[in-house]
Amino acid sequence: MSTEVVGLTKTFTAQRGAAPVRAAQGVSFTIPRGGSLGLVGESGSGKSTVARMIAGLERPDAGSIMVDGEDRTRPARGGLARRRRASQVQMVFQDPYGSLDRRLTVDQALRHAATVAGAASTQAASSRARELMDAVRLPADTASKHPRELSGGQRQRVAIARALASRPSLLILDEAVSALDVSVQAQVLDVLHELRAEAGVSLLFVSHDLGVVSRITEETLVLYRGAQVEHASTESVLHDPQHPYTRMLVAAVPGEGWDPDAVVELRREFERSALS
Amino acid sequence: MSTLTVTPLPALQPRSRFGVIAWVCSVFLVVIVVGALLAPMLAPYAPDEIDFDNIWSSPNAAHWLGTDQLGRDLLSRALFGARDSLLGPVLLLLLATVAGLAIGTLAAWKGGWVDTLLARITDVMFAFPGILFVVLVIAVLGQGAATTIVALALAYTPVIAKYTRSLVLAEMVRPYVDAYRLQGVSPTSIAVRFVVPNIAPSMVGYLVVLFGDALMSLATLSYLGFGSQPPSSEWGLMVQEGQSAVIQGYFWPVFVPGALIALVVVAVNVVGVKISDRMNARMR
Ligand SMILES: Nc1ncnc2c1ncn2[C@@H]1O[C@H](COP(=O)(O)OP(=O)(O)OP(=O)(O)O)[C@@H](O)[C@H]1O
Ligand SMILES: [Mg+2]
Repeated sequence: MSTEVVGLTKTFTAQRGAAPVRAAQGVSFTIPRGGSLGLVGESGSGKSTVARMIAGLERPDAGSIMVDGEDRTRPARGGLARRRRASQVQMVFQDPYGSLDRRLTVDQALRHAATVAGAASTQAASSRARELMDAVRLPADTASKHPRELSGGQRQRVAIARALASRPSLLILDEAVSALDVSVQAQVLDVLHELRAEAGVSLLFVSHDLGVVSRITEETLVLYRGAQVEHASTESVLHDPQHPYTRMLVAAVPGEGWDPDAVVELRREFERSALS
Repeated sequence: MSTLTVTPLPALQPRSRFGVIAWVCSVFLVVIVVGALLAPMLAPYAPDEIDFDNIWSSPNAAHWLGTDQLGRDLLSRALFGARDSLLGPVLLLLLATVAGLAIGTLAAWKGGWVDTLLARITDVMFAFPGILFVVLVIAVLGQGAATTIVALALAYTPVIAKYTRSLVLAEMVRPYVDAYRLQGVSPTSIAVRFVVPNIAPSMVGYLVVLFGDALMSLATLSYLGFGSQPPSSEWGLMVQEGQSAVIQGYFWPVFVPGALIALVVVAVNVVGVKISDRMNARMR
């Protein structure tokens, strides 16, 4: 089973006077089961909008979304459909604190998620919650803590654990590690690698940072102002970028020989080419 | 909105200490509430015991807070009156909160015509002087303590609904609500089981402020003769009955209930703000 997205389009009509924002213009891709796709682009390029449409939190103007053979283009009707869709796609949000209910402890949040996902009894929900904590390597002593008592990396792992409760086929991660420092980032990426290997979860990994994306995805799609400017294997996007915009993103990845002036120069070049 | 992923150092967290003033206010409120509850045991006289030999006396050993124009003991009257004065605002806010929370949450969550209807009703209510609306309701339902409470509850409902709406709207855009949606939790369940409890601390703070307001409104209505009727010694009514004393140069019959109203309103506000701060601090 796979994820097939065709011609996804969304335009936000802002307040009077302001020009409408084209957040997605015909975005199409396929992620095979267990596969992974990186969605990169600068701030405002429409990454979150595409992610939210696939998750079903935003309704596309045009295009279609199929996951596990179900058409998710229209909103779900009824409890049964809602729970079925929950087992297709889950999402980890950009803001790990805001995405957790601040009233619930880690254990309460995960047991609730397990119950909603269909745990048969309170015991089943509890053991599932413990399983989920293990899966994301959350220490046992965090179970009784509230979100405000957790570190950023722990919060993000709770969010991932909660997303896994329904055993989704596709996990969307919107800037899931962007706010974390490098060592914690590495831990979370490890967890994601394991999940792919063990549970066969497909990943849609959204980030503005091509460097992070390259560490987890096989394919990369580059968005510029809602339009898909490049879509190829992550290898070739990194080493043989075709589009000038992609070349700029690649140059912006920190590492050996990183030169901010070159990035600025590439950006100018790209803007000239975009104008002509 | 806080998007920080850093946990602040313990020492930097705002220590929400209760403070001396808040403690004094709490003790004062406890004393008043206990006094109201135990009025029959604590009051030195019956609240309606007339003594023409002792009218308009200043505080003395026999009458700690003095007497009124019929020689009735002001302390005893104030203690019994506290029951009507305090129970009234509690009841009317209870009614208004249940209705206001439901309407406000529905308006924010569903939008559409529910929201438009609420907006129209609140516009009309805010354009109307509150007291006029209440007097109108009383004119229809007849006067008395119960109708005053119902009338004020009707007046406060849109106020609470509007505030609830703004809190729910702010809460709805938080990503945890999206997370519940994705899990397949029903919209009603998200609203009732998760969003409403999350706005509770702000709501409690607001209700406390409204309590002072409601107490004042009820006292004002009694003072005007619409609310509690004699033989009740509701504080607003006491102020009204004491007016003749002021003209004669005796201020105790007005001062005692007036000061009680003012002190309770201030104390409730001080304590309420502290409580809501604490609830918020525990949630952030
Ligand atoms: N609900 C909305 N209403 C109006 N405009 C919106 C809405 N959501 C997004 N937009 C606009 O759509 C564009 C794309 O936004 P989006 O959040 O998808 O970008 P992004 O690539 O995720 O950016 P970032 O890296 O900053 O998260 C932006 O210009 C944004 O202002
Ligand atoms: Mg985004």
